[in-house]
Amino acid sequence: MIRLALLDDHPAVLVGLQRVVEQEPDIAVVGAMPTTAELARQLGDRRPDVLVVDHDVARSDGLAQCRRIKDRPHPPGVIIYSAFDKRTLALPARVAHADAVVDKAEPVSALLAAIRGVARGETMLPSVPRGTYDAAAARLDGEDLPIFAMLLGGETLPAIADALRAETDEIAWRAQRIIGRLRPGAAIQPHERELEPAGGRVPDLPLR
Amino acid sequence: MLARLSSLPLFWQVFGTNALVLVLAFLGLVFGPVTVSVPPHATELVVLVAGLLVMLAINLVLLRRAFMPLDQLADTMRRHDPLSPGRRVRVEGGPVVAALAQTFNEMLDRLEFERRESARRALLVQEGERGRIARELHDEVGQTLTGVMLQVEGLSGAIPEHLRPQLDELRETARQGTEDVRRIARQLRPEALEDLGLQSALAALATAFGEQAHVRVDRHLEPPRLPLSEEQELVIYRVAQEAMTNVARHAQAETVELRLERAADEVVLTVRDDGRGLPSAASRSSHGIRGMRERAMLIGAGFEIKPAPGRGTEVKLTIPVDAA
Repeated sequence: MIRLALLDDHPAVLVGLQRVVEQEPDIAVVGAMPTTAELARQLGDRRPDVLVVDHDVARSDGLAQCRRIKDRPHPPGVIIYSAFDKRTLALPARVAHADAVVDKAEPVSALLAAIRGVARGETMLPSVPRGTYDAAAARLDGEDLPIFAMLLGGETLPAIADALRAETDEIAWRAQRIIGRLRPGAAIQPHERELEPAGGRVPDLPLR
Repeated sequence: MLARLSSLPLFWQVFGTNALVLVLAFLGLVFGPVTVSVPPHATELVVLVAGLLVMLAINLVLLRRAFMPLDQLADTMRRHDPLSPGRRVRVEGGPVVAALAQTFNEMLDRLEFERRESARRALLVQEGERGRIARELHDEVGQTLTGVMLQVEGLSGAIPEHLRPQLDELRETARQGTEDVRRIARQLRPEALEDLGLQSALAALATAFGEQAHVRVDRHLEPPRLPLSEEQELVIYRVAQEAMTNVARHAQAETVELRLERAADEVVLTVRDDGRGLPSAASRSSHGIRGMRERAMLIGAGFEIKPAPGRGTEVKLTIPVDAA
């Protein structure tokens, strides 16, 4: 049985997701909430195998949350469930160490397949379109480029901090900044570009 | 003498010309073999009319020469196109005309600067508003439709079998709605441009256009050698978008060619179709075309719309690399 947690701040989507997943005999929803804090409270000690996170620029950011979760030991599989074109998330999802990206316009079967695939330990990320690396690099500070490359290579924050002889907190803050600038739509919302540094007001999920 | 006369201020040119003619008439009357009886004889009248015609002709030639630079200046002013900035009148002729030409050129500098700034402000506001509407559509309407689609899917296990086709139809409608909202949002705000870069964004635009308009799109997009500014990329994208929208609306074309090429000193965007061509009246007045010209002006780019070789229409945007 796959233990699934859902995080989406749009009520209609959250309710719809629950309805769909409840019909699947091999998937059990252990938590479904619109905010990180509420989901953390609801989960308590239960540990999901897979977390489906909404990516929404205007209200919260699933990519930043994903990267924080993935920094922990033995994290769950994370699926970014987004209303943005999958291709625009190909690169930021890799940087955030997400396991899959599913487009909200896709049939529900695509999401269910991703949940099962990620639960088996598979990675289901879209390919990175040509020219994306240049466009991404142009949006980043020069000093962030080595971190960007290492995050893409799947390195953990302590490993990056070790390689660059920097504090892990500093690297975590800069990783969040990188994700903030790479997420779709970030370029046209400069006032919302900078995310909270790790350990800021957004509470982390108590995931193993 | 004429050269010296034309270097004088206009007032003295006119005065000098008239004085010259009057002096010639005076000298002719005083020293010439001319007598006028009262009442004048027919032969005397002929001589007087001939003298008058000669004076008028001299006056005409000299005054025309004096006023010609003014006429040329007025002609240039009449032909000045505010959407093709940069053209200036030649500063030449007498001091008054030269000063007038200089003043006119300075006025054009100020007007073009003001126009460019107000166009930039208007376009920024327009882009901002488009972005806001796109976000609202994307984040609110799109999410609600996704929720509907999911909830309909969730019902599938709980309804009688004979209602299932209707449920499938409903789910498909909601899914189509999600895609429509996303397509409209993408047209309003080119998210691919910010996230994937100009080349990929144009490729995505070409693909989406080909699918929607059922037109074959041949694309030839060279990777940029030098980085373009955000404003330049946005103008290139919007001009390509508007040109292709025009093709879909008016051209009845079968094929569209989208090219982005980098020469040594310029970047050239070309959108060429094989449709029915451009009605002549539309070439300057159409709202879309005017918008493209204004955007081109904003980044100092050349904009041209003309019949394509063979048939159809060609839109060309040329951005100097100096400006790039």
